Amino acid sequence: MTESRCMARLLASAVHELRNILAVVRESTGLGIDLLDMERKSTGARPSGERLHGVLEDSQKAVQQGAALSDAMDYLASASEMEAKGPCDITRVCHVFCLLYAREARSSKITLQTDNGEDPVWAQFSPVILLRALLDVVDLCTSVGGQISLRLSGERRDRHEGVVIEVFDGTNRELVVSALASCPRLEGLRIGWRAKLMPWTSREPRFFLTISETGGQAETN
Amino acid sequence: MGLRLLLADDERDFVDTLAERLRLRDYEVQVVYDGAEAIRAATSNKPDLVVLDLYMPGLAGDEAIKQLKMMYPAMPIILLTGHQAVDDNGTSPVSQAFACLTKPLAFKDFVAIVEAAVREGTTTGRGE
Repeated sequence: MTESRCMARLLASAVHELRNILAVVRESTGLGIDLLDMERKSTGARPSGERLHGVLEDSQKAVQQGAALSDAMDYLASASEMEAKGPCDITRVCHVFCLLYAREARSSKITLQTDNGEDPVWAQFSPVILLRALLDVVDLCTSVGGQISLRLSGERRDRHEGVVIEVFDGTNRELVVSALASCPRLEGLRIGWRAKLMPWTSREPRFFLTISETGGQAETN
Repeated sequence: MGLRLLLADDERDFVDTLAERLRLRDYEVQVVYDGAEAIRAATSNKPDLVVLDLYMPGLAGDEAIKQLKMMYPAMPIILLTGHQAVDDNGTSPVSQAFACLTKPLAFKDFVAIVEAAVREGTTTGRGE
């Protein structure tokens, strides 16, 4: 068994268990809300009941967030076994990346955003290669102090599929834009692939991240 | 009398609570905890709809649905799973389910799917 297969199996099993736990919390809090609603109908609202209702609703929202995170982990488990040439839905990878890395990014005061419901943008490389490149982009932002918001979205531009990275808000915006502009190639991708970061000159401060094959050569800056 | 539902899931805390919420809404709910029990209960009680967990110890949901569909082809069945990706290429028993839902469920959505599945079962006729 390969290491990636081993990781994928362990991760998939953990996600299954996590979903079961979330399902119990969701149904238990849902039952609590049901019972409070019934009591409210028969005896009228009580302050303690209203408070409890709010707490249970917060728990339901937390379960929804946990379920979204579980979906992202499940995608990571299946992505780790995908072929190097994909296919990869860039829109979905952006969404998964934002969910998986939100916590760590927040510790550098970086907010990650992506638009839900965008159309898929298909490309011929592995999702893991793109995840790695996105991690490099965030590391680059962290290295100059973070404190910005990044919006990621899949797009097709001049027959190339890639990620539009929009830098907005935050006190470090200029520093981050300058760091990204001076780093056209990202390090650390697997041999045979390169990630290129192009300033989107017509719509600054945006960048277009593309992944392409190099024909077997490792590329660095 | 409300619809008669059979729920089969080895996650007892989950399925017992789900059943209680459904009973509050006037469904008549029977709960079992494995696939073999589900076959026995469906055979003796002929519920309006069966909800099966896909991964149960012993007789799993995919095997249970195969057996139930052989005996009662028109009986609506909904599958539940903690796995996101279900291998449904149209040839597996999973494709015989009315829907395959991922936990945790949004209760309102679940009820809507239950109602839709029973409506379709009624339309297609359950002559077994």
